[in-house]
Amino acid sequence: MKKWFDRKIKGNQKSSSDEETVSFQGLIKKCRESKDFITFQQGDNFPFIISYFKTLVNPDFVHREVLDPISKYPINTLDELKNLLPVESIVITKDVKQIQDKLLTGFILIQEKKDPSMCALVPAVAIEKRQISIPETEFSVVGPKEAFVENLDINLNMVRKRIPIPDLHIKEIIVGKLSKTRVSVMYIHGIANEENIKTVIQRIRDIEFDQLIDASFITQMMTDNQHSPFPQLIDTERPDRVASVLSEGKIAIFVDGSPQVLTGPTTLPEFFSAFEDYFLTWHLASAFRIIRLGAVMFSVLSTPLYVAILTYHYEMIPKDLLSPLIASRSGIPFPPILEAIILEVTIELLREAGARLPTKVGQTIGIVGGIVIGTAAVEAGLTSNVLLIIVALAALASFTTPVYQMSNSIRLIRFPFILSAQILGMLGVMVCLGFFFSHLLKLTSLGRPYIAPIYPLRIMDLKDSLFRLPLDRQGNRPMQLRTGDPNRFNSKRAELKRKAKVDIED
Amino acid sequence: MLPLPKEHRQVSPYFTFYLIHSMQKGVSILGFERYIMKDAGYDSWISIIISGLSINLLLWISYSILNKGKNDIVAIHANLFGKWIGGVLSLYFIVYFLLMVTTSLRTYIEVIQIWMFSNVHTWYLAIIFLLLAYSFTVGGFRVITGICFFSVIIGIILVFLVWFPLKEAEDFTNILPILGHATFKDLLVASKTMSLGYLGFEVLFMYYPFIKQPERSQKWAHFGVLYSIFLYLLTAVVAFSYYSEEQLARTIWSTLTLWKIVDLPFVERFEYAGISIWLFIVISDICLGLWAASRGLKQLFSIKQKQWLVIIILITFIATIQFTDRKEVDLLNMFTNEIGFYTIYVYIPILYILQTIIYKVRKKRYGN
Amino acid sequence: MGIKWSLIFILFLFTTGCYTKPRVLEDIQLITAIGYDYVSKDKIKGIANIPITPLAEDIPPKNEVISGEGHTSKNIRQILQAKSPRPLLSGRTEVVLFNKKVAQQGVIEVIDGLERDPSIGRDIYLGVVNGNVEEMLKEQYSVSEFSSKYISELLKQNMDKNIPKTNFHHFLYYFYGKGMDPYMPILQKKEKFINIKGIALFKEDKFVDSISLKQSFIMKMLSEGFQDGTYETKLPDGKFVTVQNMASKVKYTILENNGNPRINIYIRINGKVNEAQRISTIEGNVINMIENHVSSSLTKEGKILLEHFQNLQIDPLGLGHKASNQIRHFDIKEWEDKYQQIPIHVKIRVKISNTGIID
Repeated sequence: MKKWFDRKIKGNQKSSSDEETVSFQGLIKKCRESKDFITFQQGDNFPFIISYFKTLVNPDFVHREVLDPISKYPINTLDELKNLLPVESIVITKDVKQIQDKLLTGFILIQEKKDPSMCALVPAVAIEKRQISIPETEFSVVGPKEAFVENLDINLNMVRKRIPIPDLHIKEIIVGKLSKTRVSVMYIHGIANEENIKTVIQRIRDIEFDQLIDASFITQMMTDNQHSPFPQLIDTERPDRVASVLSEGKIAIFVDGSPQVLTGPTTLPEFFSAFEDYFLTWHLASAFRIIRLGAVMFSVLSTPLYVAILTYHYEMIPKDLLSPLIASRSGIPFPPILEAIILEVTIELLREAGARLPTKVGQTIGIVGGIVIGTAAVEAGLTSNVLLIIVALAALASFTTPVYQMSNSIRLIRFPFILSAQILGMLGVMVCLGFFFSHLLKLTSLGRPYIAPIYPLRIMDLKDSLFRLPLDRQGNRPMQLRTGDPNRFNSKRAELKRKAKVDIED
Repeated sequence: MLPLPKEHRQVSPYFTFYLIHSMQKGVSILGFERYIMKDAGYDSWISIIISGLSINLLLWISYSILNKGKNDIVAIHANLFGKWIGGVLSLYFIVYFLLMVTTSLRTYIEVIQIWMFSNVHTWYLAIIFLLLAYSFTVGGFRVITGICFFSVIIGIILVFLVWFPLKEAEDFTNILPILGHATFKDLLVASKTMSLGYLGFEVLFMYYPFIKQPERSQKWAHFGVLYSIFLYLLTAVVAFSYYSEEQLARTIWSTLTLWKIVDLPFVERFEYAGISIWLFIVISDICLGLWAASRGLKQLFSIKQKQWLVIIILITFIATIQFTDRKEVDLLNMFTNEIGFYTIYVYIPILYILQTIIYKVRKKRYGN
Repeated sequence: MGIKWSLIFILFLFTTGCYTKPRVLEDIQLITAIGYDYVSKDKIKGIANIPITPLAEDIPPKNEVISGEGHTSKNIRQILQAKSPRPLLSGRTEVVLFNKKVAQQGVIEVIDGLERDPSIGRDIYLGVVNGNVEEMLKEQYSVSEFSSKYISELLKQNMDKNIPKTNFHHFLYYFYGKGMDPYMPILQKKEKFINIKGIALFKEDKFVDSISLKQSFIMKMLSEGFQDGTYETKLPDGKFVTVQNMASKVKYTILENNGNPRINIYIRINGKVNEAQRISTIEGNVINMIENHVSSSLTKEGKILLEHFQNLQIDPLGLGHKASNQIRHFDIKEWEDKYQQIPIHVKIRVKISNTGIID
């Protein structure tokens, strides 16, 4: 039954994925179906036929740089044309597929009248682009204030200008049957691990999809375990962060049309490091990282522990907390589990409502929902105020995670914990934790263990994961990545400079 | 010759420390004090050291066997005794591993039933724990090493909790005068009892080929045993200064009862949290045992390890639910202790001698 | 495959989850103190102190007791349960009290029951009540909301300063240990307050005698080091002087010569004089005089107390146990036979370090 089903799907795929071979005439005919396709010849003795999609090309450019020279100089062949026009990357080809691709990405098609099968393709694409703006999801008070935009070339430019070395390689792959999205893989040759690069490129090539709209599609389709609730690639909107991880030996994936850039291979602790950490002194940065990790633990475990302790382990409640807890719980018609789930779902509703509305309305929703609903629920005796505090704090804690995808995952994984707390109390929480441990231990990011450097323990890598040591101690690239060049800079020289001790009065 | 595992399946030598130690700790640390106390009184802490040192010796012997054999016990057996006799001996080891798994699992369930949920059924908990163990074990040896690593880390946190009973301890001089409570014979008897606490290192015979440069891991293995000694010693000394002799003899789970005194500002009666957290330590035991057994069976019979794993989990499950009350669980522990004692103290030295002789004979016959 | 299996697993957990019985905090009735009153020779009355937390937060909680008579403590538990609307759970017990007469008959049955129950903590307080336990627990005291809380806090405070430390674990340790006898504080209700009257001395599990609060302090000094004691004494010239912030250390040396054991107790005390009526403490010899006097009066009282213990053939200081840790081939039988004749030397050195902020 299952086999039959699989076969049927495979059969379907085959018929639809076959590339149709079209003739040149067929292509032109197809294009003519669209109203914005323009073909013209200037006068009878004009030697060329010019066609393009009006909506894709820059009309100024066409008139100034193409039509003007052609009509001024007496040229007859495409080769002459190529030499004449002050435009780079003019292609002369017969290949229909290439012609189709270029035509549809904003090239002008120029044919000789004598030999219409030979075509020159002149780039004249009109780029509608957004201004570079400040990062919103990864905002930092100090540090660079530019974020990626939707245009791939601008994005590549923002990174390339930060790493002006020829070893910065960019490989481009076209993905998507319909969208023909340009996907660029960027890495520093000699630093990034060859195997990782191969894995990334192979996985992107293997993607079978029609419409690739955003980088998150790539994350979902090329990650090691699609069923994991944890993201296995970090998406960022900061070019400085990308430049920094590239120099660590990681690989960045740019997708045209997406203001997010994916980086990998990644590890779990990296999701809890904000890029701002690097702009602060190391004490502050380390403290904030530890606070964030604590916040995650609190966010995941606090409500389940509340449920577990109130349902099964009344002995564990500290003496002085017992009376207030009983007082706040008494008169509430629901058992702790229902109470907790109702509140957690309410918080999720608030967040969801706030996220779907314009910023200003969203803020109002948050305040109205948080204060009014919370107070009313406690006063109506539907929830205890202790739990209200715990749930609100847990939600707050989950928002400290710098990577948006991860903070979503963290809020989601709380629910299985709550349910297992109801079933087996503390033991249930631990069993659930055990299952998550087993999942995390098995999880990989581009084939590299996900929870490194904790397991496998790489003490050297801890310097920039759970905490961040001073920059001059960061002499080595993460061992985890198996980079081509393990040294970031001459750490011996740095050490010597550091060790030149100065006496009091020198 | 049976093939060795691939390189990306192997772990670094220093993980042997965690593997050895986490398999030894298990459930026995929750209540071993009263058994050795019965044998040798307040002097029984000496037998923890005696027993531990003898385990170090046995570990050295095991490494000698393995370094010569360069593969796991199944391959060594097959090489030394041929396919049939070697197979039977390997099967004995596999059954022994399963026995250890069953003992750990059933004892832990017993603790939960007594301390936390008095009316929860054995089969219910057994299913949950075995499923958890399955989920770890299918990840392969690296994942199991990971859980062993975490179990040791968690164990360290629990070690710090002895601070609380120490604060309340009645009399630190209880273990004095040294050797004033027991005769040498008593100490040996207590050492034998204590060896249950160190059982589990023999799983090394299965995972040896999974360690990169396994010869270099020996030092870490010895450290693992030494750390176990330290942990047992610390717990025992704290328990001895906290309990009086007869009181300890009456307390079944003395370490757990020690936790009753732990009084953190945010949680009282730590034993409930402690028992729950102990899950990670027990599950690392169970996983390693299950993995070793299924790996051995895979080496013996040509069925996939994953299928063997399912089969032995079913066997363990059926075995676990056979034991219904405290007395039977106690008997199971005693039985495993006896079997384990003879396996490590009798069989391993014999294997060493036989291997040396056979290798010498072969060398004479075929060598040079 | 992973998802399918985990779904099955979750379903399994839920369908079978009913095997663990929840004990939701507000659906149970916590017992915070247990008491036993004497009724007749084979009948005791059990009293449970149950705090009633009201439904609203602004109403003060109520101190309530339920009681029932029965022959065994387990039987009483059943009778008490029959009176409570919610299941009674003893996991939060803080105090266990025995009427004097109950204690005289022996407490082992109750102690054994408590020891077996995994939900009972080891740091709960035990006590003997001079008078009716039920009356003591029933009263709504103005100093604390629940009588159990009052008693446990009272004992906790005083064990730091006035009386030797003891709790459930300590009682068990002394009860089961060889060469040791347990003890408990004695409490008495007086109008709107509860007083600590001293220490109840036990032989095996039976209450045999009691000592006063002042003697309890001497016993504390003999049994353990402490940090913050206060001792008042009368100088030869009739004036009273109070030594405060006393910190002490005690050391036992037990020697055996030809089967004749000898006990030396050496106590070192540091303290300061804060209240000395019309005594100029500036003169060195005055301080010396106070030091000498305090030490000799403490020594005298200590000796009296030790003789008292020896006459009763009880050992609440655990001398026998200490001896077993110091003497090789120790025989507890022999020791107990000789116990009453063993010479005990007490040596106390007092050092008064300062006299407060004025001379």
